[in-house]
Amino acid sequence: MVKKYIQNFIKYTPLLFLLTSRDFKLKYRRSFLGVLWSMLNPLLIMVVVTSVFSVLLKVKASDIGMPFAVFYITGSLIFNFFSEATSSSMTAVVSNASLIQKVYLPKYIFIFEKCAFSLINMLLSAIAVLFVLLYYVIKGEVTVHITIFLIFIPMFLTFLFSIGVGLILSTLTVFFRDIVHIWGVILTIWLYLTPIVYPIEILKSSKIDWVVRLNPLYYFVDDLRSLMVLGEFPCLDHLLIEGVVCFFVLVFGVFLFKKAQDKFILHI
Amino acid sequence: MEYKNDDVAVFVDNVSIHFNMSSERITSLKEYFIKLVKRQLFYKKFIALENVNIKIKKGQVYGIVGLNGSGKSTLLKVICGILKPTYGEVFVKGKISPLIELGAGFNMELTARENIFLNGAVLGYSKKFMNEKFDEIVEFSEMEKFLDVPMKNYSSGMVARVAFSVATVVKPDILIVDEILSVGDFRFQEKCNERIKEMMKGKTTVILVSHQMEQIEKMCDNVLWLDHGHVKMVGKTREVCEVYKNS
Repeated sequence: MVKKYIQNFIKYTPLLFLLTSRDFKLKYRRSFLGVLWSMLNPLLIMVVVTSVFSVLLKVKASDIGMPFAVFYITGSLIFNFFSEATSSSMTAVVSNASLIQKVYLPKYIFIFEKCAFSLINMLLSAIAVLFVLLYYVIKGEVTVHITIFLIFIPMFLTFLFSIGVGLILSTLTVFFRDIVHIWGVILTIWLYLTPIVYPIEILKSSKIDWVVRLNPLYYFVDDLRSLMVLGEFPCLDHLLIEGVVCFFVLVFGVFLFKKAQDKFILHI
Repeated sequence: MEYKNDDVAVFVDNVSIHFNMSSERITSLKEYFIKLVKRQLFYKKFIALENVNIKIKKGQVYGIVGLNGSGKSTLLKVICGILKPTYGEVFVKGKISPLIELGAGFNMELTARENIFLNGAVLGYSKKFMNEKFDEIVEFSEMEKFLDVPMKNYSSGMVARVAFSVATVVKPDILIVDEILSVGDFRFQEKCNERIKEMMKGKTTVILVSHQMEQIEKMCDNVLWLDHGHVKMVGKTREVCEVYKNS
């Protein structure tokens, strides 16, 4: 049984690669700077956000342990990936309706593809993050530690989490197109409940502190920062929470998707 | 259990397909809950196929006839595995190549070269295989000059040429043909017919759906007549066609 699934997956891996490269080509076709935009974009947004928030919020570097620009761009790296991966997987099944109605294909391929494409974009943006880091290292405001080589751990966990959420969203979208409209709102709420522009310490005394601590993205963001900038290994209970959350979201997503996928064709 | 018989390629075992046709399609959550609370979630049952049994032997050319909406395409979709039957089961032995919709999965922004590889992957062919067969595909389609042009600039006939060439590059065990022999200009149609006949001569099992009775009579060994989802008649081509034409 399991062997059959694996064989089927291997058979369609070329499709996974080709779909990803299709997305890649279409994204940058006819743009002058092409793939550079994946690095340039987060940098420009970082400059804007940093200049706005250093005036508005007056977060001190000593409070967050790193310059605000670094604090922001590391947080948004994870969140942007999650937001892009889930939004695009959400419509992955519906927008490939013409294909699904005509040829037999394992349908989860489309969700995998969107998440893989977003992962590539995140890795490209990570290069921009490294440049920012380098800038502050040269300025002497940040020191880089050996733990930086472990940043793939929170990235990979976010990837798994996004696949799980993507599977759930894409299934729901087939039956209720409302999801497409509401997800943008949910993502905005989620963004503000994740410590990306503010340090979590600000919330210590407030009532929504526990909400933020329920947010899996907080742990991914926090771990990325500690590995990348602070040189600390994420504490064990963080990793445990992340592992459990990823596992359950992924299992639930696979279960829901598998149960509903035969009905997709009647609703797309 | 008869399936274990080695010479059966496709075995459709008592398959029924029922659709729930709600009077209006509910695609919003609000609507769904309102109707759920009001208990207005009624469905009309639509029977697309009812108790269909077919056994197609290896190497046979099997025709399916019937009026529009009689369930021919639904049956093909079940055999391909796109639709899951509500009741019953389908057993298929060997690799299916569906010529149901040509060019499914073509992206018009991409060039023909990119689309050929993409379409090959959609049909489940490996990259190595596509590399080997690429020249053959291009040669058959006669589109060498336009390989690196985005396909949105192609005419529909040109698109169909490329699509047919990709879809028939393998010699599948089971070939499913749904009204596609009217592809491109007459010269290319002849070429297509040639290629399909070549496959029929080999060990390929062919399932052919067509409204052109001539074609069915010329090519098929056995014919199935579907009427409103029910099997009206199965048998030798000449017998079934005669009754069908006079009905």
